[in-house]
Amino acid sequence: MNLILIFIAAAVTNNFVLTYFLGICPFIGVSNRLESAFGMGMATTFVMTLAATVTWLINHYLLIPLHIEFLEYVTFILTIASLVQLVEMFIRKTSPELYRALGIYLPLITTNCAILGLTLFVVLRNYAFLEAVIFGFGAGVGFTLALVVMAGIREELEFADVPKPLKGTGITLIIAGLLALAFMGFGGLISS
Amino acid sequence: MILTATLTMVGLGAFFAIVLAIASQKLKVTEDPKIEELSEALPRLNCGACGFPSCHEFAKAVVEGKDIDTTCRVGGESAAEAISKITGVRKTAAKKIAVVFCGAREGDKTKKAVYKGVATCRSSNIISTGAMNCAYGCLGFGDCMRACPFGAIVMEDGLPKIDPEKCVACGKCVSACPRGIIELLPFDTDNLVVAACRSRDPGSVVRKNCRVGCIACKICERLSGGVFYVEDNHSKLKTERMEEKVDWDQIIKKCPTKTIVKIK
Repeated sequence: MNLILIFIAAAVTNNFVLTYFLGICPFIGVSNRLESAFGMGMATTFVMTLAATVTWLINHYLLIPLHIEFLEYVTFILTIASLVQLVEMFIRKTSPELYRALGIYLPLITTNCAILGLTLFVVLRNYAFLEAVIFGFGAGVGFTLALVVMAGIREELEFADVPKPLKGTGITLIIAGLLALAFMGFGGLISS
Repeated sequence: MILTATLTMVGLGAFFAIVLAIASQKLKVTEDPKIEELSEALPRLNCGACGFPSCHEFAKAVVEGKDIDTTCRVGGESAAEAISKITGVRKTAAKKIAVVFCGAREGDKTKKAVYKGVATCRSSNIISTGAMNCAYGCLGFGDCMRACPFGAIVMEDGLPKIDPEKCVACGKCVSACPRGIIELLPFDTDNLVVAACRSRDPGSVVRKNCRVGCIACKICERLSGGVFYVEDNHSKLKTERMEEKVDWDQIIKKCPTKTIVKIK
């Protein structure tokens, strides 16, 4: 039960993008086409789940026994960067189309604050191993959800008559705000 | 403590390095060596004149035999040679040049305000279409000069001067100009004479705004037999009729506002 709650909380009620406002850069940058948004979401989910898993292991079997918890930021960033490299190679090999569509945003997953935030949340909330993995996966799903919803809206928006000063990023940020408001409605789903 | 911390970091770093090294071997992407070879021969400036975001992308499209214009305007002989090796067809691009459709230097144009904002054309243009009275002419802050990857543009008396030797018609300046007064014109004709003004204001207004603005008097239209024609209150050049025998010098001399200039 607890695991399900963690998953739903990470994916919907405490959505990383729309409630914590983490990872806004790819959220704005890659959300103009549904296909690449989904690809980006998948890549980030993969990295998030792996990052949560690996950093949990590093934290519990290396940093805590050796009493060097202060290294948590540095090691986590190192881990995330390496994982992103791995994902990049993997995507380049398996799907050159997706690789080109994601472009610069793929290496930018490295500096996606949602992922570093995730690994730090895991430490902060004292999650057990399985909880951490589910939390990472849930956060990734939430990120994908936000990205895909946004991309869907933006694709429709292509045909809308947007006032000139709001074209592009302006209207995107306004939609992001409205989406965040809508996601606040999920707040009552879990009371904690 | 320091030792543990250092050793941990070194250990972790080494571990990830090894994992990545193995992965890069396992997941190596094999690319046609021709692409790399051709890519080497291209100028590698990623100027985008061919319509591809980078020289590498262009090389890839050429090698894959896609139906595209396989000319590199920038690369010159060496690039043409390398491309012809792959396509089997020797093509050289028609020489084009960027032309600025405004001839007003500092002092030629009257101003309505003093602009002290960010010194770029783009920002100046946003504030009620710039500090000068003419809403169509060159703003003179040199956005085109900064956009040019080849250093072909220098600013002289508040007007860009384009070096035909260096200009490869990549079109960077065309999109950099907020006024949209830079255009790519064919340069392999004998003469290139243009009416350097894009003002849509009626002649009476142009007279007040600018010393060299086109007042749409139609003298050039008459003298050139229609190679120049007046539309939207300014004279335009029919580029497809540029090769015709026209007394260009006469037109330049007769233009009352000296709007018509000789590029070549």
